[in-house]
Amino acid sequence: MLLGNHLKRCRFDKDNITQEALANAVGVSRQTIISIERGRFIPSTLLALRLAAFFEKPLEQIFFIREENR
Amino acid sequence: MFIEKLIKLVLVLIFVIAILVYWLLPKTAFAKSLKMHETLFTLTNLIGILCGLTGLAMTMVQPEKIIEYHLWELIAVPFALVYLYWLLLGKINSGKESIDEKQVFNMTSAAAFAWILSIPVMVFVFMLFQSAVLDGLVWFPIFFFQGLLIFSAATLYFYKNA
Repeated sequence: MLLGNHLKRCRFDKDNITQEALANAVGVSRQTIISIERGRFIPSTLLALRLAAFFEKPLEQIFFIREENR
Repeated sequence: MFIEKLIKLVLVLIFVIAILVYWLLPKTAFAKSLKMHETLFTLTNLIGILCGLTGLAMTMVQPEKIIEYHLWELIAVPFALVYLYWLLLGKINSGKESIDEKQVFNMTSAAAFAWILSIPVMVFVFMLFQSAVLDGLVWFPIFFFQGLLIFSAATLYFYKNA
């Protein structure tokens, strides 16, 4: 099982906010946002909650579990 | 011996200035504008790679002089100063995270990678000592710089690609 996310779509929905601006808003580096979006890095619960709070959405609307080989 | 004394003097001067800056800078208004940035993280690792490569090259070219003239300490100074700057930022922004969770994760992975890779490297160095190609205290700069090089390169690689 892998962790999928709709971070890119959420950024697009929120005035097309840049990765840099999102990174600054949640207190991480831009590279961290890039890695999360690409599914290469699984954020901690704290960071996931910070992202959800920033987008004002429930956590499961941003992150979801996806099966491998799909 | 003049070179050795000069290098020692330079090292002591750098040490004293660095301690003074570390002590005095947080008390100035300028300190508030200082913060950890992604570029600094990348730059730190690039400096680590450069110091590691320079140190290893110098150790291969001048194995006796690198110890005798304290050259290895001089080569390691840029990296030590950047890390001191990290500590300074930690002191100024106490309570705030200096690096984020991915950076911590990548540094931890790189440290494990560097430790594992240092075993075969040091076995090779041991074989060079056994066959009298190397002698004296030169094993330490080799160990230090190969560790620094692998750690910095691996951190940067993991950070950009993982």
